[in-house]
Amino acid sequence: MRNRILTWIVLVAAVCACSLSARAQAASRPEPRDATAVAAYRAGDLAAAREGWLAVLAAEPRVEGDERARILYDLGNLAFREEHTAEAVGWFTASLRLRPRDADTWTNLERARRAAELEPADRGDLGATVRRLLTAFTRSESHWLTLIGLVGFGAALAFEALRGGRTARWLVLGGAGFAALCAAPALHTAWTRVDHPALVVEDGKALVRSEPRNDAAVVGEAALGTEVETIDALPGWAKVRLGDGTEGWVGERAVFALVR
Amino acid sequence: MEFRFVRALRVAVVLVLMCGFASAQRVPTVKAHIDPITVKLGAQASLYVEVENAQAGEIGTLPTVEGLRFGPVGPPGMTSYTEIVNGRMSSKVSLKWRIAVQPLKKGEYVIPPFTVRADGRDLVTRELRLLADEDFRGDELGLLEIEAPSEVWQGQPFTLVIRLGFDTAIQGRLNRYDLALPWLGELGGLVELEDVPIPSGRSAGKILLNSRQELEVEAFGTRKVGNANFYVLRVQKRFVATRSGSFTFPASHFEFGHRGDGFSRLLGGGSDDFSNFKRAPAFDVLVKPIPEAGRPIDWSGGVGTFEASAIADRRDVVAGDSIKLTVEWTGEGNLEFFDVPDLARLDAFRGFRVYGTQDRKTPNRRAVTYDLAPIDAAITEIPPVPLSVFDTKSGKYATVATKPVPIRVRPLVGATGLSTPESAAAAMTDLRDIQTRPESAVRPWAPSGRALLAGGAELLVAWFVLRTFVRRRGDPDAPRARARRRARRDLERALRLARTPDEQASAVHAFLAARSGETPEAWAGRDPVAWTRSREDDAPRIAVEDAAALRQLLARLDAAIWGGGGASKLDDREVLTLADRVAAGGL
Repeated sequence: MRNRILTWIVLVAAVCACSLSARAQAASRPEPRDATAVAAYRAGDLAAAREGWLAVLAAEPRVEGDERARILYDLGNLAFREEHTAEAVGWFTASLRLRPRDADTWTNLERARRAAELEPADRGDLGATVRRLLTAFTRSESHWLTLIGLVGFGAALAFEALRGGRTARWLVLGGAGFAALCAAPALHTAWTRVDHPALVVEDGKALVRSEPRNDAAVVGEAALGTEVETIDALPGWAKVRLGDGTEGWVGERAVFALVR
Repeated sequence: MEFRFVRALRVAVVLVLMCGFASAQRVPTVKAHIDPITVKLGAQASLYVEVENAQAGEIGTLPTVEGLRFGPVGPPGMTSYTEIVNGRMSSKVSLKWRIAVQPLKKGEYVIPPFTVRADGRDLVTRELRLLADEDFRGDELGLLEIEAPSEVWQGQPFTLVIRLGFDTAIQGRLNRYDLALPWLGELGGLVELEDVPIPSGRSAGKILLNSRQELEVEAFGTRKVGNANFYVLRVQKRFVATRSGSFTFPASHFEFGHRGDGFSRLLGGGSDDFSNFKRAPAFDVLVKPIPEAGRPIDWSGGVGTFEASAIADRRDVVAGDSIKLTVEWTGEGNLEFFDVPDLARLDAFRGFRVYGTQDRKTPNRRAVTYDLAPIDAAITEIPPVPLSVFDTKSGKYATVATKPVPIRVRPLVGATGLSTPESAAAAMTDLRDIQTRPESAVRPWAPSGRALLAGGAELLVAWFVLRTFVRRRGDPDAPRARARRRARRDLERALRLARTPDEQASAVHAFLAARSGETPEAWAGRDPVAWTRSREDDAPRIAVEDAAALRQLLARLDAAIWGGGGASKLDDREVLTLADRVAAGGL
């Protein structure tokens, strides 16, 4: 009897939490701030649409979360229509960092990469699939997931502390695995995290120079579509670090910042 | 025996050395001759060039003799043999070429000496002569006419109609027919097209073309020339000139005659073999250049006189349905070569989607099937399909268009936007459309990474502390501890199964024993109040009032056991309630 009552209490609490969460989300959903940009895009005035969306991105208070991802996505579509396919790849990639499971963004990203003659972002092999699974959560989602894993692991530890025995030990092992699985996206994000990621959008390849001068020695090359880290900037120039650790300067327009 | 063998070996060695010496001493020499040295006009002679004592050689450029045509120079045939002259053995290697020579007009030809390079040495042939005479009999008994246009436009296909024949009086004696067109494949800028097919129902036969390949000819009946009847054959060959200027076609010949087969020649036959040649004079075709002035940007490359027609497989469709529009161009012109119109790029077809084309080419017909889909119910016809061509009759650029095909397009029920610019753009770019529905603009709260790390560490510490604390009170996984935890569940099950007060008492004793860590027998006849008072402070025990209630319960069970067969068992819920109180009280 007591168990049944407890079950009901938990169920009612869960329903209330869901409803409150939905209400909170609805409350945080703003009125569309980019109506002018959307209208300009529909009318074919791409310059006005770009200006409108960039203004929304720069506005204070800063637009965050899914809304920001949506605007980045729309800017990707706009760049694609302007036939700036490499830039479109950059916008879609930036959008996916904020909203990694959006099917439209993935579709358009792959389309833009194809148009820019780049390899697909998701090649469909095992490595790519695992990578996509690990990056399928936003930062906050991966942290919540980690917390869930820790709670499960904690429950298993508590059981083991109170009861002991072989079953409890197996439970602890399972709990540790569950926690590791839940924490994997967050760990992957932490492991691969780059402070200022950028995408090379120069046609063909960008020449990395030792100094921010056009006649400086070339110390490396970065192919179109390569992800690099921006570590410094000067007017017209950006200092980047390549995947192999090479550091050097490229033209400011050769790279597209992925955190926007 | 051994002496003889050694002697023979010595002789062999000397012979081999002599042979090597003899061959090393030989110098390459060249010989050349023509066979036969007199030919009928139209016939071929052979130029033989032979180089002796050489392992490798090549003929340089053959001399140019006006009116004489040399065939291609192939690789030489190699012959090697060994001969013994006056007891000396020598080895010889010779290279031999055979080159076809054909005089194109009557006269005596002198072939000047030419150079042959053999084993690094230049050898020179002697001067050669060839006599070509008219074949009066061939002229009389044969027929060869070539009908050609005097001028054409660059890119315009033209046909040479070749009529050939022979006197029907000698028809029974003929078994060899060879049409020699020396210009075929030799004129730069002239591309041979697929032959005009022989109309079905007309009889056809095969003759030799340039002594190499077979040529299908059309039997064209008989023609009376003077007092003679000629059996006439016809060939039509098509060409297109890719450059402008004058093309000179040298004289052609038709050889007809009789030649025995190899077996009859072997048996001494061949005396009735003969060949006659009929000659057709050289002729010119002037190719005029296509004018640059007035050339439209969308000129298809078509040259000729064209007619166009269009037919649709369906004329009553729903918007979006496919219509197969077959456009056919006919006429005299380069039907195989022009670029067909791309309807997707024509403004007139903006209301249509073009899914694909199927192109079929023949020399006298070009048919293209377009897969179209009207996307707007307002469309009432398939617009004319224009083709920009150069009209060879007028000498000007012109547009040949089909007639519009009236159609009915019914609107799609329950669907929108097939023709909206938005979806058209989406189809063009194959992109998912922009997203306009506002999303949550707040970054969702989540525990920070540091907090999670700290939580994980605290979790381990808490586990360690809790575990240590619990273990101080004993191993929770020991059999006694497990039995103690299981006691309430076992009591409930035993009471449910108990049928008599005796069995109920056993269940209660087992419960108390499991909780106190003793045997069930220890609780038989025990006073719980006295027992709990005798316990030490930190040992499990029962509250005094619960102990009193337990004493009463046990007494009632004893009474029921010993009171006779009619005694009923106690209420299970009462027993379980008391058991819970006892456990909660510290036992």
